[in-house]
Amino acid sequence: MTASEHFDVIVVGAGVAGSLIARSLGDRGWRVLVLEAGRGDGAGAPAVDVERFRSALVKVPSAAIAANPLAASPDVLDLRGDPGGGYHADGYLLQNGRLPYASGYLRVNGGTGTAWTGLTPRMHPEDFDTETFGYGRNWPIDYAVLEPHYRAAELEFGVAADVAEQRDLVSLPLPDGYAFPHSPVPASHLDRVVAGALDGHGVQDPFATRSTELRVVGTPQARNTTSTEAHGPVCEGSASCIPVCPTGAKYTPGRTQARWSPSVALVTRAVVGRIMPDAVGRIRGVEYQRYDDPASPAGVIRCTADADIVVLAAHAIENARLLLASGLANSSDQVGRNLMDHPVLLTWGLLPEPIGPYRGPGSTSGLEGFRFGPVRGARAPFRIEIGNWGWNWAVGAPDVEVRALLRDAGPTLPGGGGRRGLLGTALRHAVGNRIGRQFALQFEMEQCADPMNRVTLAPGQFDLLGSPRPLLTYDLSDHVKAGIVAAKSVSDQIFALLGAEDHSRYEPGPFQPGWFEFEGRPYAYRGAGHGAGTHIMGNSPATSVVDSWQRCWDHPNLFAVGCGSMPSLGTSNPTLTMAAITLRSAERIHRDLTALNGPIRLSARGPYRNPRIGKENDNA
Amino acid sequence: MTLPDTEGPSPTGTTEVEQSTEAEQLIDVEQFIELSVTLTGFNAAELMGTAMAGVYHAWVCQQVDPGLCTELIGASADGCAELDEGPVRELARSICHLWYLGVWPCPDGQEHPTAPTVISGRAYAQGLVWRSFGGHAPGAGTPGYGSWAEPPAETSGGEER
Repeated sequence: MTASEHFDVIVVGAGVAGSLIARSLGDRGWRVLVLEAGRGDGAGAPAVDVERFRSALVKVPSAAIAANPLAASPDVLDLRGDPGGGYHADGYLLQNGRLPYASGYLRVNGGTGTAWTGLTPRMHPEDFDTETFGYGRNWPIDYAVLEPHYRAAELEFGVAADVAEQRDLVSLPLPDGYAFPHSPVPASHLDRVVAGALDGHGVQDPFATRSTELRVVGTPQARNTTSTEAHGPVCEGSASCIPVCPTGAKYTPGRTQARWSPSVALVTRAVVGRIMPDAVGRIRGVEYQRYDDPASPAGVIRCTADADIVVLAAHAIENARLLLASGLANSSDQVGRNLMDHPVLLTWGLLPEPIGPYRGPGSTSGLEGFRFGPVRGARAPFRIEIGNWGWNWAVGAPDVEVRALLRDAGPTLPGGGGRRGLLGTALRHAVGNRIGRQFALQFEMEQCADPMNRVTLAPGQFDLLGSPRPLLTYDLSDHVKAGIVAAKSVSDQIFALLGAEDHSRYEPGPFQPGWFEFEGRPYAYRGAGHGAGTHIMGNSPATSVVDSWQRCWDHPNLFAVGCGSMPSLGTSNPTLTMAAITLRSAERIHRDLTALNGPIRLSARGPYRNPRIGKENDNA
Repeated sequence: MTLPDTEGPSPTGTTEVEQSTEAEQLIDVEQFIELSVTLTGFNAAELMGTAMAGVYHAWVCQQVDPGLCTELIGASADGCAELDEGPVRELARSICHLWYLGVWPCPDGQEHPTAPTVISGRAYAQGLVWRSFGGHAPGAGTPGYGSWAEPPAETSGGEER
């Protein structure tokens, strides 16, 4: 074991949250060590590679990164549904819940922030206060406290959105004179077709007393609509935001890392295994293992690093695993509990006319009318995303469609291929006609904190570096299932207004591990990749893991940041809110460091250069 | 608007074929293109425009018994709609699969099934499936800012045979 080095702050994880913390503290002159488990130090082949995505057989969110057995990334392909219902999980995440936790995350420099869609809706004020509606857990802070941090996060991400639309159609309180950094992303042709058929019509939510008026609304997103020095090039519509933007128009943590001050040192391929406390519960530092080549576990070096403050920013599940493996921060018994995601009901079909799927960002607009109001007490609220990429998420098209048309075109298709399938011009026309009319709706359900949904350590199961593997226990509540019932009913009415053929099928089997029956009907959900809640924030050390600063109640110099701190997610994609709470935490960490060290003089302290670590840091 | 990227080295782990085989001398690339026009419904100029014909010709000649190829060429001389079920029609499907998706499938009924093979990232980018509905392969082109707001490109084609 090498001798420890001392830093002001150690940040575990170089995803969105870790990169923001390091930027903020580095800018204030603190010496920050960022330890990233995955690859991607800027040398050699890129860790996230568009060419790898192009030549991947299955275009899943992990398709752009290389396999890494020493820091495995949970993948949606790890889950398989069983023929009669039920599922099995074969990857890094072990599972024993009634239903599967259906999302992955990426362990690579930049984290899941390299592969995110880039949608950045704010949470609504009432989302912080769901106990008013009879469910979930309240935040210890409210929208008003977070509002300036939302603006700071939007500036960092370069969010494109329309202030008037967000104020009038999403009823978000935005300060007078506020402008998003970028003008809104143009609505897709599909959005316009859908708006033409739906806007102004009412649909009946089975749980509501009155009908809900439909209105297609642009979605805020971290995507450049003009080329700027601060945010980079303009979106060119490559339509592969998940898993990799080839242009650089979507925000990724690499953009923040490029602006890190010289006092921030990044070490990739450094897997933290344990956080080290002293006798009175202060954190001294971390133990980590460094590898050069993921295929050579024998070459792993054990290291330690010390710091005044340690910040865990390794993803909700990894943060919980680290805290549990270290036996820390758990006097409330809440570490690992309250695991949440956004369960997603997909519906998919064919529109009467070609709309040009697989173009532009994954989603540019949505329907916001089912997110708010007292009805959320009766069923989970949901946000509807209009999916621009055909049946890609739903069935893995267009490959599936081409295979089907080559073999068994069915009697109703032009060309008369019958049971033998189509070839020649009949094939060309059928493929163009069918795929050209594909569209999908994505209903993202709020899932509230439930202590029974949790991460624990799998007994006797270790990863290649000897760390205990996470075991997930997950299920959907009847509140979520009622939301799914309402979503399907709303979808049926929307499809009727669109004149669309509904091709949604929910059947047990390998491709729908999230299949279940509820009140006699079949459904299936997917995971949105929004894992949260595992080190939940609250206003009492008895019932929560971190305070509103994401500081562990049990350890004054240990922070656990990210979606794991969120007591509720609302129906908003959580990255923006995570960034807002994390930027707020950076201010607290700065104050805590100042109290420990006294004020620092930037010029006096200067860049930190350690010869061994410095060569890993491309930004130094 | 730029065409999908066709530059760059072949990535590791994929399989562009370069060596000439005995089979290639039996079925030349012109014959392969003529067959592909019949099978895919895309004309020769469209197929040549992908710059994949040579790669696919070599691949098919390497993977498939030349006798079967010759049989398919003969059987589809007057069109392919009536090809009987069996190895010849299965080969026709595989060649279409290759052109439409850039992937060589595991043909049905094969004695030792293998996983489908992605020929290359370039083959994916040039897949005919995207052209069939006026689109482009995700992650392989830069159609331009706001292009997604326009109605899809006209997809007529395939009549001029």
